[in-house]
Amino acid sequence: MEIYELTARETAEGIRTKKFSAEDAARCSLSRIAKFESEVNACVTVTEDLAIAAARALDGRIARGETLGPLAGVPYIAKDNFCTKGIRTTCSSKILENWVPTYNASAINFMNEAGAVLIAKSNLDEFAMGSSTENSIIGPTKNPRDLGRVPGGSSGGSAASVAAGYVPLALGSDTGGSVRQPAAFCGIQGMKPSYGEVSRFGIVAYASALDQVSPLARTVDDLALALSVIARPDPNDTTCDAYCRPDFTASLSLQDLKGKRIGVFAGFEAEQMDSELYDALTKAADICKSAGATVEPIDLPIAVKYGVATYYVTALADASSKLGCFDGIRYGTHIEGKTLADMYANTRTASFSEEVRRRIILGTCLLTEGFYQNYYGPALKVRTKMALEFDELFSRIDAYLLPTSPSMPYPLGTKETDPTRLYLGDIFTVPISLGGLPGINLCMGFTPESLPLSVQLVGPRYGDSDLLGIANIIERAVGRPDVATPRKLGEAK
Amino acid sequence: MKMTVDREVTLRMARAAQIRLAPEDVDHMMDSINDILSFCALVGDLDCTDTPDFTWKMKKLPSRRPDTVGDWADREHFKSMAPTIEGDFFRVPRIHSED
Repeated sequence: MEIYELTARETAEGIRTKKFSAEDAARCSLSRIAKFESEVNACVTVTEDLAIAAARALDGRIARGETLGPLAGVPYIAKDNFCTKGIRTTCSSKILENWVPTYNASAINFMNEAGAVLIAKSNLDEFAMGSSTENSIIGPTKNPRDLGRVPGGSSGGSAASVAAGYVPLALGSDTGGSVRQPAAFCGIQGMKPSYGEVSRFGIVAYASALDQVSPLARTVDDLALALSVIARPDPNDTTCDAYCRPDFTASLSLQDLKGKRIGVFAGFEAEQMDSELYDALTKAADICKSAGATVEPIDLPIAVKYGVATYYVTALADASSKLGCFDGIRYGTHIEGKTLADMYANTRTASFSEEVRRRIILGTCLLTEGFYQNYYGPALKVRTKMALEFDELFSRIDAYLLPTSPSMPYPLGTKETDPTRLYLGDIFTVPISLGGLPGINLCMGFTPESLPLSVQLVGPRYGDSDLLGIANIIERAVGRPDVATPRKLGEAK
Repeated sequence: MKMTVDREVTLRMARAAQIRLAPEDVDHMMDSINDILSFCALVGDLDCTDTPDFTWKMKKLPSRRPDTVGDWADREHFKSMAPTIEGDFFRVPRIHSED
C-alpha cells in the first residue's frame, strides 16, 4: 500500500514505528499534488519548503527518541480561511489576495503541537459563501471523483484534497454545511462538531454564531483523532466551551447498536431529492437495524420548513457585520479614493465578487429599521423553537439520519440564477447548524457510474463522542471510501 | 410581514455597506434581494408568542484573558502590510472632503 492510501492514524503509526519517515510522508503528499493539481485545482498555496522543514525536524525528534504528538508527521491541508502565521491567507478573495497573517488560528496551533505537517492551504468559495467552490480567485476546484463536477463547498478544496489522496486529513469550516456537503460530493467523511467544541479563533469569520472548525478524512476514526486534537478550551474564543472534553475515540470500540434508538428523516416528498440519495438513507437505516438499533421515521416540521429562511437571515446579518472590517486599510487590497468613504467603496466594490456583495448588502438591509423587526427579530425566535424541537427529538432518540444534500454532485458551471433555489440545496444541513448539533457526513458507497452516495448522521449537542461511535458502525458495514484517481467520468449528466 | 426594496432603498443599503452599485446593476441586485426577502418572510409565519430570542447554552463559560496592555505582534510586519504608511501610522484619506 502506498503512503497516500493510508489513513492519518496509519500514517502516524508508520512514522512512529519507522516504516517510513515524516519527510517521506510529506514528499508523498507533495508529489500527489504535483501529479494532479493542474486538473483538480484544490490548493491556493502549497507550503512545500515549510512542510519539508517541519517534517525533517520531526524526523530529528524521532531519531532522538522524543515523545511526539498523536499526529506526528501526518500531512494535512487547511482551508484558506484559517490564519497561518507567515503564510498568506486569501479566503479565495481578491481583497485578501496577498494578506499574510501575523498569527495562527488556534486549530492550526493545536495541529502543530500534535505534530501534523501543513502541506497546503485549500480553495474555498470566497469567504466561505457558496456550495460549489467555483467562486474563487484561483478558479473552480474540480471533484476528483469526476472532474466534470463540482466538489461541493465551501470547503471544496479540503474535501477534494482528501478524496484525491493529497493528504489523509484536512480542516475546513462549516457554517451551514460547508464541510458536510463537500464531503458528500467527494465521497469522504466530514464532521461538523457541536458549536462550542472547537475554537474559532483565527478563522476568518463568515457568521460567528454558526461557524465551526471541522475535520475531513476518509475514516470516522480519523475524524475522532482530529477532534481529539483540535477540540479543547481556548481563552481566545469566548464561544469555545471550557468544559473538560471526553475521549472522542472511546466510543469507536462500540461493537453494535443494541439499545440505541435511531430516527430517520421522514418529512420529504420523494421528488425533493435524487432517488440514489433516498436509497442511501434507507441503506443506512437498514444497517442500524441490523446492528441492533430501534429505527423509527421522524419528521422535523419546524426545522425543515423554516431552517433555510432562518439560516439566511441570521447568517447574512452576521456576515454583513463581520465583513465590515475589510476596508482597504487594515487588510489586503487597497484602492485609492478622494475621501475615506470613496476609498472604502472603491476597495470593496472592486474586490468582493457579486455573490459576496449581494450577501453583504442584504445582510445590511436585514439589520435596518423595519427589516430587523420583520426578519432578524423573528428569526432569532424561530431559532429558539427549532432548538426546542431538537431537544424534544433527542429526548426520544440517540441519533438522527437524514440526507446531507438533496442532490448528487452536479456538473461544473451549472449556474443557478435564482439565489433562493440555490440556497435550498442546504435544506438538510442548515437546521443542524442552527441547533449547534454535531453532524457527520458518511460516504455510503458509490453509484454504478462511481459517483459518491452519502447520508448525514446527527446527534444531540455535545454528543459528538457517541455520534462518532454510531458512525463508525455504519462505516464498518459500508467500508471506508478509497482514494480517487482524479478523472472525468463519461459525459456529465 | 413580507417586505421589499425599491431602487432607492437598494442604493441606500449598498451605500451603508460601503459598496458601489453601477446604474446597470441596480435592478438585478434589487430583484435578487427581493427574491430572497420574499422567501425569508417565512420566519414571520410561525407563532413565536412568548418565545425568547435564541442564545447559546454552554457547559462551562471560558475564563477571560487578562486585560493588560503589552507587546503583541511585530509592528514592522504590520507596517509592511499597510497600503501606505506615514511614520509609525497607517495613512488614510481625509475623512471629510475640503468643501
